[in-house]
Amino acid sequence: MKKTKVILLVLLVSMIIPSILVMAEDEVELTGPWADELFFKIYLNPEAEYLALKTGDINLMDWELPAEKVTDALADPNLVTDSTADLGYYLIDINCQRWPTSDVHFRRALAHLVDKARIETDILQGFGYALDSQVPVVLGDWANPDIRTYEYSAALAAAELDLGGFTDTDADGIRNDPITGENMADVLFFIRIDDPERKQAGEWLAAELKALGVPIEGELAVERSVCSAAVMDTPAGEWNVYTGGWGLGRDPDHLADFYHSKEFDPECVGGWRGYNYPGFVNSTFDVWADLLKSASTFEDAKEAAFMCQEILAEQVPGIPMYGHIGVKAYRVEWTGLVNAVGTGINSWWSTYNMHPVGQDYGGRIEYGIKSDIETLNVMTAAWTYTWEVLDKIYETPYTNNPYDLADDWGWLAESWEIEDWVSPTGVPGIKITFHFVEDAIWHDDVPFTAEDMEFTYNYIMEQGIPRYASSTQFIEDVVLVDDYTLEVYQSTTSFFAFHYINIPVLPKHIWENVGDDWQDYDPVAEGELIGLGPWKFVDYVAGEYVHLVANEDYWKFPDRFYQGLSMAELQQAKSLSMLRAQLEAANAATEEQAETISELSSQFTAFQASALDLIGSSVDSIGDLADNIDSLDSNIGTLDTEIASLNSDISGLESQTSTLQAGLSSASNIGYASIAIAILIGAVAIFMARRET
Amino acid sequence: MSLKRYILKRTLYSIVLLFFALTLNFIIFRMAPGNPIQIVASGVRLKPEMVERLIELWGLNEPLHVQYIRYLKSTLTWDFGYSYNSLEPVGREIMERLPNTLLLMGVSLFFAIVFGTVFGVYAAYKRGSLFDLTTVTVSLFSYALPTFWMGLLMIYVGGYLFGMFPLAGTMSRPPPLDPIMRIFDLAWHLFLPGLTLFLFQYGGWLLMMRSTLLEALHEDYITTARAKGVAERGVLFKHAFRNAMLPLVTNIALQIPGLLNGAILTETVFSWRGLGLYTWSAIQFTDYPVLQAVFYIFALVTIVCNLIVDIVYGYIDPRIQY
Repeated sequence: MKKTKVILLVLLVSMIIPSILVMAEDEVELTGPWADELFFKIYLNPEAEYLALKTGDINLMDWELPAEKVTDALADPNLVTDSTADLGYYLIDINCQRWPTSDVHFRRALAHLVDKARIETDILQGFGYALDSQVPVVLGDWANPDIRTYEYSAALAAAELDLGGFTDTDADGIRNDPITGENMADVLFFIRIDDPERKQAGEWLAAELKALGVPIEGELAVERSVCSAAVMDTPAGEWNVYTGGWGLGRDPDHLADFYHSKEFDPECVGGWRGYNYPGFVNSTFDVWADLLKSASTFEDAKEAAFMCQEILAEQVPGIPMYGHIGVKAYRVEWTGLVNAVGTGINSWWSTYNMHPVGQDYGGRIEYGIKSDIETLNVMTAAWTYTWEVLDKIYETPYTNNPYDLADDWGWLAESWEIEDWVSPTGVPGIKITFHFVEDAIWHDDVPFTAEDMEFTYNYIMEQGIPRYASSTQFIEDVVLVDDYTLEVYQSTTSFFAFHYINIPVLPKHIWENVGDDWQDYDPVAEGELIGLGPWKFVDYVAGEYVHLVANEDYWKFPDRFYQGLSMAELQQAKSLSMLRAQLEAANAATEEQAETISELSSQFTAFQASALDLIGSSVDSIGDLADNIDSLDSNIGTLDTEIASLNSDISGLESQTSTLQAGLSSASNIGYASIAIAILIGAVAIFMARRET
Repeated sequence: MSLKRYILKRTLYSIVLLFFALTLNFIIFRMAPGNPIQIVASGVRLKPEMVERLIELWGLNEPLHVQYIRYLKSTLTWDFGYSYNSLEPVGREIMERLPNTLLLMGVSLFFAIVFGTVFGVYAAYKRGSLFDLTTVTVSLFSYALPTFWMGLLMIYVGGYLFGMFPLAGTMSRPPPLDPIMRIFDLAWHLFLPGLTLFLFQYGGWLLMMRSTLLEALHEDYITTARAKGVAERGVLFKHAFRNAMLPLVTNIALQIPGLLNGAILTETVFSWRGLGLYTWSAIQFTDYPVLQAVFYIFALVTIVCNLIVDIVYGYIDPRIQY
């Protein structure tokens, strides 16, 4: 049995370490999707889902395999397993408000007694990793690697107890209280029995402490609801040690939430002691926690987060123990899966990148999920598995590196700027300017613009939609700059506020018609489940499956032509590509010619029609002309006759004229002669007269 | 007391019972731990004013008696409000799932009654024979096995080992377009969950039929019938079986509410989308409106079935005193 455990551990650790520590970004293909179809098959029985994976009925499954399934999956040649760390951690919570755990030396002594190596091997058996910081490694750059650590050592723990004055002064085997000098009062342990791992770790710690001469009361083993009432909801806080655990988001702002003094409510006015139920009150920590919450840049936030971790490691209000590692499986016939931090191989990126082995693209992803989805109304959907579907249909302004949660990647907004801003009422905040891509189109072929994003924020705020209440709670104003630029004004300076507003964008042309009916709206029934994402919705049969197909109009849809080729093949492919380009050009030219021919043809047809009209009208005109010609001919005949008579008249006139001209000529000659005689007579008379004188 | 008065009395009694069931249904969920606002806001921290708004929207701010009156009114008008989880109308969600549950229950109950009765009669008739011994042993075995375990066994053997039947669901993906093929597809998917529920019920029916019939076969009128020379077949079916029918009728009515409970496990194991599965999810989400609605329906079905039995008894059993 022990041997089996060791073999399993070795196998798991060898499998797990690379997946956690080797986080190569080049394993992610930014274009996608590569498969043709995506089916979500709903299995409400995990056993049936696992058997379906083994039979090949599904290719990928969502849930983490328990230990017995891991060994089976590792032995199955048809399955591939991979692992990832969960977004959460387990710790020993220490009540800082109750003696003796209010003493920092006592708390440090406890830290020295937590045997994390043993927890890793004997409890977690490879399904987890030891943790020193309150920020698990899954949060990437936010984890401070240089904080104070506590070596597991009873001697060091004893030394810390001695340093705090908890010594066995009367040598009765029980340490004495440094204040009263009496034997120490019992230290109250609350150990959760509903979680076998925490139960074991808590019991070990209690035993170690007892061995050092510290009395333990009862080693109380209680379940969550009882713990919740006793540890978190009671003002008196009658407890010292509690085996706690937290699920986390992608940001490390939980440090401020869990340990800022303002999160501690000793009187339980708000119904419980607050997130800071250990009652850690430290003014220096508060300053850094405030800075963490209000820092407007990554660098400032990171510095504050590091300082918070250092203080927590020094003051030990909690002892981080371990984080979980989940192992998931998929079919060997598929490749390209992305083992994203905090999610594992069933990440968004996997369905985006995966394709069949030996086939560069295509195929049908059969993804088993262990729950039915609820409404596909993106405004009301809250269930995790509904979002497994919706996040493939809708898009958000940006995404993050699947291997580093602290690294934001531009997506629908290809870039952005974050600037300081002060509201008209004087509240300091930030202005975020998004620059969106210009080639994204909705699944119904309507182009996306920044107006859609503007509408989304305004719609959510106007309607007061609970699902997104925290996302928009700091938004003061949204200003549309142009079709692809949007400014969002927030009334907080927190760097993390940028993450709050990363919500799915709604198609304005659809949702503006939904109006106040967002709660009853059923986009599937209306045939309006329209997104921008890499997958298009086809069909959902409740309790059975959801069917999506690759969105070939996605702005990051891959040029599948070159994928997975060798250099020689690539060369050939490029030649082929050129030929293809030529062919496409020729096709385009042909198309152009065809268009010209078509145009000419239509022109010819129009010309033909007009010519026919013209001929028709010409024939009519010719008829009319012929009639006219006939009448003209008769007129001409008449005219000829008239001309002939006129000609004869003219001849007569001409002869008369000749006669007259001859007469006139004779008359003229007579006249000229008369004139000449008269002149001669006159001249003779004048001569005569002069001679007389 | 006339039959009419008897029916009236039983009906009034059922109404009072239903009222108590409704009240209990209300009290239980108000006393249960967990806050629905926290469930809706899971993973997010809501502003206090938003929490206030939700509390107001769901009427959680009103005094309990006001909430109670509103609850009674809405339940009796079949308006169960919205699911805290899906935010969908509960009535619509129930109606979507009801046909699947009725199909699963109906088919399994029908076959369980038919086979249980026939084999039970025959086993009683052949008391002490190998057939009797075998059927009784098998019935005890199947009756005693937990439904979920039997379901898992069915999945492993029928779905995985032999790969003859689907592992989950009610249809292939995508389902056949041809209506005839669609029916075959449904029957193919129904086989394993139906068989599981059938085995769960069949044993009970057989054992009950056998014991009732054995009792009847030892009655004086059977001896008289045999003495009169009535054929053995006639003795069995016309005399013994007819008298043994009475508890059979009672059980049919009383089995239906019990089947709803069995359906929760069977539907969960086989991912069969019915009311049982709906109940299970609602329990996980502390979805008060859904749970109230489903439990109300369960209570209603139980009370109505009991009322029917009482009335039918009034007609068929002359020994019943009004």
